[in-house]
Amino acid sequence: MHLTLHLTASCNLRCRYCYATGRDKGTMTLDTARAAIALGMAELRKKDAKASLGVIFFGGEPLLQRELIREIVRHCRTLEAASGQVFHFKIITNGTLLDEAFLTDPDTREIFVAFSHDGVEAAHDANRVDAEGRGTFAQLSPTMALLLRHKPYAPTMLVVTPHTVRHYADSVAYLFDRGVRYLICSLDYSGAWDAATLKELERQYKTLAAWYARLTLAEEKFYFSPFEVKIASHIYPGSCRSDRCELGQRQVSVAPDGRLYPCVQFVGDADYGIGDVHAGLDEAARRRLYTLNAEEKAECAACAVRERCNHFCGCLNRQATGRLDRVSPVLCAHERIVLPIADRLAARLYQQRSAMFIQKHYNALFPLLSLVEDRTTGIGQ
Amino acid sequence: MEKLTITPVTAYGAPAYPTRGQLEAEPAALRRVPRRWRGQAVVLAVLTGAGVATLAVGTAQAVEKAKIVARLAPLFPLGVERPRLAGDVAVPTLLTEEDARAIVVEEAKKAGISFAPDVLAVEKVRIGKDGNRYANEFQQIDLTLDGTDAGRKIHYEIVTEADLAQWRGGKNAFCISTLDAAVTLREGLSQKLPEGTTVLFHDDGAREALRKQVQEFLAWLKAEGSI
Ligand code: SF4
Ligand code: SF4
Repeated sequence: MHLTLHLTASCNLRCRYCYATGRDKGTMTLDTARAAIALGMAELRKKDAKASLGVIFFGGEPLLQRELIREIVRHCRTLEAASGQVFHFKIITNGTLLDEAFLTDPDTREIFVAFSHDGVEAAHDANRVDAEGRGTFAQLSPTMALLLRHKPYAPTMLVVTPHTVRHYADSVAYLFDRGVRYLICSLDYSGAWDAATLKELERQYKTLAAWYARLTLAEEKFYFSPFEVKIASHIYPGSCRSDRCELGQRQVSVAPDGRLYPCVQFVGDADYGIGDVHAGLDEAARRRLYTLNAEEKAECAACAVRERCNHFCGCLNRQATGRLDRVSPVLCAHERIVLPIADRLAARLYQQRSAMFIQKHYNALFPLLSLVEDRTTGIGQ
Repeated sequence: MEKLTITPVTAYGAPAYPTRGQLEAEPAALRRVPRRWRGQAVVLAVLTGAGVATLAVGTAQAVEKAKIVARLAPLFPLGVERPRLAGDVAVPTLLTEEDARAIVVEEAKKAGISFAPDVLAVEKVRIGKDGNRYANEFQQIDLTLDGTDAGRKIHYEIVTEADLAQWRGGKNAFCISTLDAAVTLREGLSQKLPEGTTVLFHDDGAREALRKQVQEFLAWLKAEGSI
């Protein structure tokens, strides 16, 4: 189970696709964070007393609340010692405030860092700008090197918009060449996509498929989410449906004021509240949203690829269409573009009996093997 | 600007690469080792020691854990599967649970393996709902493995019609064979592997087919250098 703590709605950037802008600018207090953690632990104990609790620091920009992060970590470590329940931490940051001190401080150095970056300068600076509208690419260049030196497995999250889609393949290759190995890419689903930009998206995915094949045959280890997820949806039938977020079942988002929501997209929207850190989870509200989301979407009922499509994601649907139960046409177009390209790529690599492809996709021990390899060759120490 | 719409895909051909379950038919593929691992003694030790075992891990403790060899033998599907009919609840099998166990014990004994019954329990194993390997929903079962040779750390389980009936709580299920159920159980067990080697057999009602599975398993153990 994960608790996503929205430490603050404030941010030092003004990314053009940000859905968090315009929210009230509250900041979480330590008391609210403590109450959230107590609630998370109690929820977890109902299922499995020894399961670990994930705490994700989210914003706005969570590093604006660095001292609060340290206090929360210390609080959790005290609880850990007393209860035996283990905590793990993650932060999702724009990177502009990340520094050596955060990555080495005894309280914060164990925090898993995920970082947002949109790739080449033209793509990144088109959207990821500061309060004066200036791009942040140049500022982040040394930070990326610093982060990867301390945390070589740090994932990078890249957002593709209709305006930046022509840089997609170059951006992915740029990040890989800088040393990023976990690339989590998604579209700005609420962007103004049209036939021409979708055609460009298809062209970019074809280029990326050639890039992916070349690297895999060269036995590079990396994760490029759009292809990995689609390939897994065939190799492990049903994984697409079972991996989807279960709206408040596996993770809960906590707003700065302590109100609870099923996912980050909903924070601040009263219609989607599922309780409060003090009063607890509103089971009826949680179940109502879950049921609404779990219903098969009428538009998709006859689709031949529906078991492998991400239309189950209520949060994406909400972001793009304003409604949990209404599938985004952009998502639909994306799935129809990426699926056949990913399948052809996988078929080609399988037919060539690429050992790296087979180990990565069929041997669930792969992450361990990879880690053992890295440890014995001195990576990630 | 034209309006984008939801457009269902009317037909989509099966991809030209296997699912994890289908790859069982080609165990050699999983033994392909990337060139970069070939000089890596520790990686190879984990890879071969664990065989195709699947441990859901990724932390430093996991490296420690992997030193304890825990592996799953492949399945040895043989013969033609009996078709299952919709609503076919209790297909009478020719073998009782005791008969089936006796065959495994007898064959294993010839290779010096001596199985004691019902020694090892494995809890909360995740399997496809009703034992269906293709299910999108899952259920958890508690299992006591049918037999264990404690000295050699070898464990076996026979998936029988009785197991299937128990997992589906007496409900009708259709078209689920014991082999299908063994595939999903194998996937689930891979996350909960006891130390040693675990093998799953499936009882499809034919005495000789079960015996053949055991013989294939013993040949596999020999080829792996384990007996
Ligand atoms: S860094 Fe994140 S929270 Fe800040 S403006 Fe950009 S997208 Fe929004
Ligand atoms: S591809 Fe489109 S129609 Fe098919 S399931 Fe996905 S969203 Fe629905």
